[in-house]
Amino acid sequence: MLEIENLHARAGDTAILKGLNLTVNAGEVHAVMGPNGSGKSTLSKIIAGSEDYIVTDGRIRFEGRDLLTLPPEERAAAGIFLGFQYPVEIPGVSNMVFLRAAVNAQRKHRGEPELEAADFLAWVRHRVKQMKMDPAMLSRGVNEGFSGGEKKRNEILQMLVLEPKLMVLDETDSGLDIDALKIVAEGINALRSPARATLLVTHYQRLLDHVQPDHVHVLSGGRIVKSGGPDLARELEEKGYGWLDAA
Amino acid sequence: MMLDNIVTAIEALPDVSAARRAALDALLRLGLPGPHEEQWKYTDLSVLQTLAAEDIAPNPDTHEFPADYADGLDALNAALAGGQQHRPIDGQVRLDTGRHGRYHLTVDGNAELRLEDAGDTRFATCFITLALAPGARLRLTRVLTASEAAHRITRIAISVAENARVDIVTIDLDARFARHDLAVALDAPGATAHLYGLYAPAGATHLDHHVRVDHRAAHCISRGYFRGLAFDRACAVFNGRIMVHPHAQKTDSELRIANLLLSRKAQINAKPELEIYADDVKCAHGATFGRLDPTALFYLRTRGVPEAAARALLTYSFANEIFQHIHPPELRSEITAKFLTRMDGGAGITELT
Amino acid sequence: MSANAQDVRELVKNRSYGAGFVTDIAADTLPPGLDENVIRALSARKKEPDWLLEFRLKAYRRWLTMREPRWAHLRYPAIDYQSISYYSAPKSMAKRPKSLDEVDPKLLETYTKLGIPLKEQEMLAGVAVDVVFDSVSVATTFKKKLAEAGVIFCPISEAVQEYPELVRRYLGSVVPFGDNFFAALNSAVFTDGSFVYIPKGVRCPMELSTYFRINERNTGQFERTLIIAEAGSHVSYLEGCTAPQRDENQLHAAVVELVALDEAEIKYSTVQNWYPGDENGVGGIYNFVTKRGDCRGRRSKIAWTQVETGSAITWKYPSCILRGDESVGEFYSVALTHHHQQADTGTKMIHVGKNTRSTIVSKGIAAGFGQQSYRGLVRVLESADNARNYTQCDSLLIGDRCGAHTFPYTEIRNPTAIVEHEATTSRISDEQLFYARTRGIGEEDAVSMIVNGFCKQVFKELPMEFAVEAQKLLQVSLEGAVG
Repeated sequence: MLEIENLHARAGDTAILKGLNLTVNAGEVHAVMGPNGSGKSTLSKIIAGSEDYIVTDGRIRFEGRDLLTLPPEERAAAGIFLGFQYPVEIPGVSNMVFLRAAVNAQRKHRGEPELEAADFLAWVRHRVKQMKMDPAMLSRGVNEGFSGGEKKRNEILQMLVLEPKLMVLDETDSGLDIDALKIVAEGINALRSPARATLLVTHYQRLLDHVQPDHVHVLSGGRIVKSGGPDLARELEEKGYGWLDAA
Repeated sequence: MMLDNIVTAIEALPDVSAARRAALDALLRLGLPGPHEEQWKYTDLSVLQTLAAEDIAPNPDTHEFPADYADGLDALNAALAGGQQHRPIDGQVRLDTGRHGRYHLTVDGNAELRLEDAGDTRFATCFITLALAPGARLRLTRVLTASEAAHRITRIAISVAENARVDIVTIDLDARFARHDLAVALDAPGATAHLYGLYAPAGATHLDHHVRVDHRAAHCISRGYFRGLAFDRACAVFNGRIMVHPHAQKTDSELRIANLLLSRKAQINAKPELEIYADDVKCAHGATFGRLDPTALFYLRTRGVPEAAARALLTYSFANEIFQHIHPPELRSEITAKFLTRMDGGAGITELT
Repeated sequence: MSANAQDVRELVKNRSYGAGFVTDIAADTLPPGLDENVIRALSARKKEPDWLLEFRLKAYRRWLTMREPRWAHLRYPAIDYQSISYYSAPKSMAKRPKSLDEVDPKLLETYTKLGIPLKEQEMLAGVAVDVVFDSVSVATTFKKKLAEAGVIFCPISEAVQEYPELVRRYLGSVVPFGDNFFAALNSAVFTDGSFVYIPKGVRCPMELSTYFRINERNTGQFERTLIIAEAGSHVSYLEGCTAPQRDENQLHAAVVELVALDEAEIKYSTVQNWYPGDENGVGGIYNFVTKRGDCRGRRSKIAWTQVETGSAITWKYPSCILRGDESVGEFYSVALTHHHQQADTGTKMIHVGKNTRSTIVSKGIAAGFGQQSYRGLVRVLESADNARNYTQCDSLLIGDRCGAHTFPYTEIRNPTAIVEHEATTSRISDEQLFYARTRGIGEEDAVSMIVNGFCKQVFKELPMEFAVEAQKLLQVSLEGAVG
């Protein structure tokens, strides 16, 4: 589904990704772990189409299409979802308006008819309930005045509403207490299917206890330096990242 | 406007240099700003006509005169001060602003400048330009506690270079009439200005403070916190303008003005202004007018504090938000004590400060 | 931005002002120039009584002694008042049509094109419309239905003939003829506008609305609106404005006077979409307007809501004089300047009576080379015990070549007043745009969504149908603002 080959990218004059390779197939859950500053967030933002980074070499294909030439909204319509590490506040724009605009823009792009208001409402309410959120949040501004945990939950809610093919979740576990973490993990697991794939970008093992990955990769110095199964994550949790340099 | 008293006073000097005469001519040509000008909407300089020629008291010394003048007031100051004195300052420096003066001061290192005016001269104009070199620090304190007959016009313009920082505290308590212009230009990245000011006219005083901060470069920070109190029949004017010039991106600026009217005959006119020509900036300002909190007053009284003392205490705590920034502590105590004598019930608080 | 999007924007750029067409119609237009003879001629054409001609001449003589104000944050070349024609009316209007069937079809077509059908059966139910074309009122709808409720809604020129006592009593009582330069000019040469009278205790059964259209070249439009709400009455009024797309600037200097008596309430909304000029700042309307409401009665209320997207220059401060005890003034504003538009707009709240309250919410949006200024005055007089004001003033900058400015004047003379002013400046951040785009929302839609969110507090004050209009208008006005 997602093929990243020899990806090089920089922000300003600083090279961040230096030849990253990664393939994620449909049905799989991959975790990318690594120390701070290793390029984890850069990777997820580049997949989503951020203009803060310049790709200097390599390519990213999504379902066979060249992803790098597409603007962010077309990547979203193609089925890519990024759960932000720091979700953005958009004052005055209610969550409901925002979600409806997103759903309909994506449907339109795919040549599907817009959802009737009543159907949409029912659909969103169902997802809100699933995330154990207060439906009143739908009339509040997007992430406006939300706590860190509420923002993260809202990211998963958006994901459940949009039902993407590829879920890229950037440090979604940070700032969550244990109950919220479980709800978030349930949200992610609810979308797991043979047709979908997940890329969890995280510093800690925590989330992986609840969302079992098939593959774990260690990102360091802008490259995948080690890949393995779920055991690798536990090993990292115990030993930290230092031993990798020594190895 | 008739400026006969000014002309007479200057002509009466034993020796009027050609340069001083040129300044006087410039004044007569340019005239003084009038009430139709936006910056003079609330303050009428025709009050200067009430001064007798012998109260003008020009400074007989002669220094350097500039080639031209920004406006009539600039020329007036040069003519009365006898031109401008240049000097670098370092460490602690005090200037008496109760006499006509004109200075250009430069700061390379670390300076503390105190501008004090507790004088009983009827009229003084003091214009100061200050240039801070890259990385320099200046602590500027200006205090006005002049006599009830004093008329004052001051203009202070400060340019702040890269990574230099200026901390300013202005306290205006007593005079008959005062107009202050304070302009800070943040000229290079990393320049910082922190401004604190209290204007608290009493009696029949008219007090006008115009503050302007120019963000001329990216990555500069300014903070302004001003508080106003008007007692008796006094009139206070405060104008605070933040100007963010094109390309001054990442400007971080805040200006807060809080006011308290303490008499039915007093008035305060306040205007915080923002003028912004760059988009990636953080700028906020606010102005409030309020009254002493009735709940707090009641609370104090239930604890046995008489009403007058309770009012004095709350008024003091409002002003103290600014007083606490006065340095050194002896000056702070001196000013606080002077402020408290204004209020019935203030005496009891003096011991507490 | 992709090359493709750029091309699309080039295409839409010149089409974005939909109201820019000209109606080709024979007009009776006075030659350019202004003197007492012009005023007499204009007054004679309207068969006005002597007192009104006197009012005009007094205003004109005062105007001659006045200077154009220069304190606003606006730059424009000097206006040549002698090059303007002060009266223009379609010839077909020489004899006032008795019904819509007698109105020139070309005029009717103009309004249909603008989306304002005048046939009652085609109209929005519940909205009565008076339409003013250059210097005359063309038609007023639903007059009969309103008359049943005792409401008078007609062109002011008609009111002068039919209800001279009312007009004489209130005209110039809120905005005196010598109030300011542009008000004096208007008082001398005003042509048409709407007159509204709501009798005691009546809740006006429908929204009233006036639609102003400038068509003729080189004319100025000087309309005059007067609304009187008797004790205990209630009215909601809306005005809209458009003009053809032309290279030269045209002057619009209106005066609006509102009078609210005891416990009366007037809600006055404006959607101003005069031609703003092109993307290089050529052409556009100079909009110098004096609007003032007088809360004369106790517990009266006047609320101004404005959406200002048009005009090359806007100079406008809809105000409230809160004379009656416990009266309430409100001002909600969205003003947008794009390309080379400039706006200096805000309000004045003058607290005179006791326990008076005012609220100001101003949202300024600047894009392109636009300059946007909020200028507002809150004055609390000695008599206004316990006055309250809350002002919130937010600016949104789109791009780094525009400017957004705030000039709030507060003049307080009563120690019991509580006044709060708060201003912020923000921009549409790259992060917000990226976030919306990762959810599949295109850039322009994201911008318009964020701008609408920014303006929400004001839009919710507009009557429903107009709130939708206003949102669309903002979207069109912002085309090409990002990228």
